[in-house]
Amino acid sequence: MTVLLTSSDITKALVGSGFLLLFLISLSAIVYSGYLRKFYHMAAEVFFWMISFLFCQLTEMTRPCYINRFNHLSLPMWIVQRPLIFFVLLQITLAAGILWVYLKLVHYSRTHVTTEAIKMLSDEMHCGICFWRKNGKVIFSNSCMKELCFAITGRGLMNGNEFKACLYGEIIKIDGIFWNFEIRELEYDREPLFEMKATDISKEYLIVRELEQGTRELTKMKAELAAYQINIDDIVRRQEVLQAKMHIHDEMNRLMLTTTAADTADIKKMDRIFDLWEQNALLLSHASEDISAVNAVERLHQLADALNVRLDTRGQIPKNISKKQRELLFAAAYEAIINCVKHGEADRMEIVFEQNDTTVICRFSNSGKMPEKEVTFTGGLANLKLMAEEQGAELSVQIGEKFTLQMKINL
Amino acid sequence: MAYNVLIVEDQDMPRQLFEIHVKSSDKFQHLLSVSNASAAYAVCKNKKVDVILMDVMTELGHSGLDAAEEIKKAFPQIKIIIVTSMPEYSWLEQARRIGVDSFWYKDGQKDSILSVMERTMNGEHIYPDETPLVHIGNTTNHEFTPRELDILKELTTGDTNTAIGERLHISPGTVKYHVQHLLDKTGFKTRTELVSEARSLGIVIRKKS
Repeated sequence: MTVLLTSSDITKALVGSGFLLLFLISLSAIVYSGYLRKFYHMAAEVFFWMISFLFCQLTEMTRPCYINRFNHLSLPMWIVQRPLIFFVLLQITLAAGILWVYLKLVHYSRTHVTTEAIKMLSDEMHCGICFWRKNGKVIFSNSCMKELCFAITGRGLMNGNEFKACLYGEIIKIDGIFWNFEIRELEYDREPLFEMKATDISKEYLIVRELEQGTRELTKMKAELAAYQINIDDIVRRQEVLQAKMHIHDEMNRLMLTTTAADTADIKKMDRIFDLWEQNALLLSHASEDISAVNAVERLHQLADALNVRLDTRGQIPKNISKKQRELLFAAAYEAIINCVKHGEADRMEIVFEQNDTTVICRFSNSGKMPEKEVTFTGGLANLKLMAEEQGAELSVQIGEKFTLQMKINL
Repeated sequence: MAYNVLIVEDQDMPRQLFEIHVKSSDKFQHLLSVSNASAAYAVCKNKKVDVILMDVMTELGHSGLDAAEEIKKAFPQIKIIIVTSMPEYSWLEQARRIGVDSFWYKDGQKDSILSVMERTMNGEHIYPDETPLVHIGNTTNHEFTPRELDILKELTTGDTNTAIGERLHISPGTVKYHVQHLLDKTGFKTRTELVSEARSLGIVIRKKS
């Protein structure tokens, strides 16, 4: 028996297939929205699913075989005779149900902190934040951090570990804004979780830079003041020397008067006058540089003897240095001997002079106790360093097998 | 037996003067001369020293008063005579507090250094009544009050009134008041001029840190 398909049958079949397809698509969309937890989308898709189901059934229901099927079911007659009413009522019920669910969801979102709310608020923050797992997978980041990541790496924020590796410092300047990046490790679900925060510290950074600049200037002024103090000391000392010389000259004047008035027959008195002449002449002659330098060497050896320190000297005291530079060298030598006894408890010090066309280097070494802490230039050493810098010289400490104080003078 | 004398003086001229004086006396013999006060303690440890002629401002900023305090604690039997030409206001008081035996100003003293040394070895403590008179501007150093001298010393650091006030536990306004007094007394126009003159005359000398 052949069944002839009429055109209306084909049309109905096509329409029915279309609604069936819509039915299946809506069902898939519902499942996907549920997975993404997009409940509003889910509610809309359920509605469309029901509509498509309704029209699918309406299309089917006009076919005679459909009516026959209903005859086999024990359904109330009005449903069989008026299936459209049944499905409209069903649709209204479902729509009401969906509307109720929707209102419940809206109420929930208004009375509870939802993930969407957290995301929305975090995107409005003017600081960046992100979290990632040990394998680098980012589980949360706000829009600010995403923008920072793109600005630094040129790529989106996909892997926290890779982003961390691209950070070249704790403070990074991006488009004129200074960002401070802090990373810390947390624990979540017994697994390590990494948090990165990026804070705009432009204001504070600029203030710190200004303070640093101010500190540098103050330090420079203080150094200038210290140098001024040294110059003042030098001037005062020269005044003292001048006064001493004036005193000697006064003494010599008095001596001259005493000599002219003295009785030459009184041998004892004349011997005494000659002694006084000798002393004064000696004092005046010691004002010359060469004798002063010789005295300085003698005093250095006398000091070393008094402190039971053996001095081993290699090389010669440079001759082509100025008087001030020579005084600097001897000051360093005295300081070195005193420190080698006081701190190093040594009984031997080596003094080495080296010279070339441009520099003179003098090293004072002892193999006594090594310092336990880092050597800082305080007290006499600090003043010696300042004096050295005034003369264009460098003072440094070297610690190896021996403790060495080195003075380098630029000629 | 002659007493061993250690001379601590960084300037050649005064040091040689002292050496000549000591050598001219039978009661004293010159042990050693050093230019750095920090060497004095080490010398006292290694040699028998009876009396020290100690300058206050020695090489590299080492203070003779600090060295004297250290030596007095370790070797109370050693006599120490502070010798200076600076009329710094606080050194006399500091020397007394440390227990220095005698204090001698190089200029304008009626007693010679040998006389002071002999009397000190006999147990006397010779201290001048006051610091030498120094003219500064329109006034003298004796016209300044102790607080004014404290502030004058702090002014040599170049710090602000606030910083000075914090160190002296007074208000910046009080500092300003004293500074103005100093300027009025001396007739100087600026604090820089005041400080420069006071420092070069040796009225106030801040210890180098």
